[in-house]
Amino acid sequence: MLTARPQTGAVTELCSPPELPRAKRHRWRELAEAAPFIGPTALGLFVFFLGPVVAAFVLGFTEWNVFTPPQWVGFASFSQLFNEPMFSQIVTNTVVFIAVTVPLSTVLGFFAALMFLRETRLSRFYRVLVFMPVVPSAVSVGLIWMALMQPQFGVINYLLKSVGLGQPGWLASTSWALPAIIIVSIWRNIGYNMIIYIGGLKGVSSELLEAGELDGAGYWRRVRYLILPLTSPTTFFAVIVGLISSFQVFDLTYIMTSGGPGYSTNTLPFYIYQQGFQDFSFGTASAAGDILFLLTAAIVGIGFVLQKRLVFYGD
Amino acid sequence: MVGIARKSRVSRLGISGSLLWHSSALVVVAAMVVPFLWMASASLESLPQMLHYPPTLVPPRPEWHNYVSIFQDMPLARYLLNAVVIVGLSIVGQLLTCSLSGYAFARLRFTGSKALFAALMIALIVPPEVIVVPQFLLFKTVGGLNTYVPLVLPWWLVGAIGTFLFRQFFRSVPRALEEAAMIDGGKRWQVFRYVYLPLARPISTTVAIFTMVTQWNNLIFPVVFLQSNSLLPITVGITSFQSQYSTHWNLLMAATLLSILPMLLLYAFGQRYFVQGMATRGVEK
Repeated sequence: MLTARPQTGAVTELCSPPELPRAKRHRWRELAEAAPFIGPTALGLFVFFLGPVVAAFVLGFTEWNVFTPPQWVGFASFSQLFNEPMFSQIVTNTVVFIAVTVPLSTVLGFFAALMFLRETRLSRFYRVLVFMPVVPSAVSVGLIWMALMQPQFGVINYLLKSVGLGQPGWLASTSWALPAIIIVSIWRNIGYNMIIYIGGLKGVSSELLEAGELDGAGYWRRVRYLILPLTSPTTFFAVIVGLISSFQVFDLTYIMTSGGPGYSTNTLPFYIYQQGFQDFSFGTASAAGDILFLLTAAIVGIGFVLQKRLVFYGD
Repeated sequence: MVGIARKSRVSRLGISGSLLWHSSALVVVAAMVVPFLWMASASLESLPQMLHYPPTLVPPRPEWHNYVSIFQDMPLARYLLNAVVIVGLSIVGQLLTCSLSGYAFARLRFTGSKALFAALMIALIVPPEVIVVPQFLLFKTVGGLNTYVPLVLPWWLVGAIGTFLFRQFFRSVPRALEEAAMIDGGKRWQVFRYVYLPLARPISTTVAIFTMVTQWNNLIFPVVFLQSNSLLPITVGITSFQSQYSTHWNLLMAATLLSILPMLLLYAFGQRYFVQGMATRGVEK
């Protein structure tokens, strides 16, 4: 029976083998040893993630619905999409949604993190409450806000009326529906970003901040010139995470508007679902999926390029 | 403690600054919490009461009967049970595979480990809507539609965040423990089973909770793969309830409250596990 005897770290250095170039025999042995551990992961990764990505790419060039077998049509599915008059609105909606939701929820999360950074009991309690919107499903959150945003008897319009502002039609209006979904999405994600930033802010060195304070820099100057650059890795991470969360617009759209009124809240994730599972046109669904994937990759790519210029790591 | 997180802020902010903080904090927290409170109060109102304008926060006469109605109007208990089954199966599978792969990435050297890990991280950025169509076609061909297989099987094989968390955790285990065990003549598998696994309880809880929340809240996979009403988990069940009873807002709020209650209770008792998985990832990247 194996027992683990805790020993000092010195043993580690003595026992680790030096870095020799590994012979081919060793490589296979290493793989054989690792196989039972990473086998399932490698299998699952290829079958359920990378394989489907490639398949979606290929399927985008086919025409396939439930009744007819797949036929290769080249770029026809794509050009069909681009000629579809509503498609440009769908792409615009998607881009607008991401471009507004991600930065706003990140910035607001940052300020929430600054506000509740202290380790006092009150601050910690407030943190728990601010994170609460993140916990339930997007569907549930959508339902609650549907009730809140009811134009006639909802709380939101009642509050707006009592301060003398207008009464938007929210989910019933083509101009207010997308902003409504954006608002709900931001509301949901602020707590998430707050937690990310609290983690990042705690890593900021106190000496630098105190030096800034001694130099006479006020609080907001310190935030702008010290804290923001020093937490830029966190910001980068928060933006990437925000991008990943933005795909949940599908959930919100599904419950709140089904893409309407008209096409005003239809975004790529929802459109893919409509094409694939309401119209059963798998070719166009995959083509739209390819476009979504390219859009995502482009945003991440831009993020990485900006990272080189704007993100400061360590010293 | 970091400079900006020092406790005695009142002395630095002064009375007016402290007042400003407290009032703006209350506004922020209220904005986050009031929707839930309103949902709870609306769930206890009768329909005419709810439509009454101006809206009231405290219902004059709580309609507890709403909570009985929703169980009669739809198979709510079934939906909740289904969600528990899906989540339970996913957690077991995820813990098994991610502890194994996390250990492999943390401690084993093999060709392609860097590339494989990178591929795993890239899988996080893939929108689920993109892969759901090919997965649907896959299961249509090999069978498995309208079962829990497409929902649960991926979690038994692979988990990007789970693997990441286990890897990070296992890296912090002192190598000396492993060296000692192997000197004793232990094989790799025994080292994993008897040294690393017993230590992994805290991170296992984090991974379990993460899996639980992700699977409980998931909408697109059950919507795509499940057709029978009796198989639907609570997220989809709620949407079908909404399409049937779209004007019965009070009942909808009651159903919503019940559907989020398990997660909220879990959060109330274990919020550090919720937060743990998210906050630590920033450091690595």
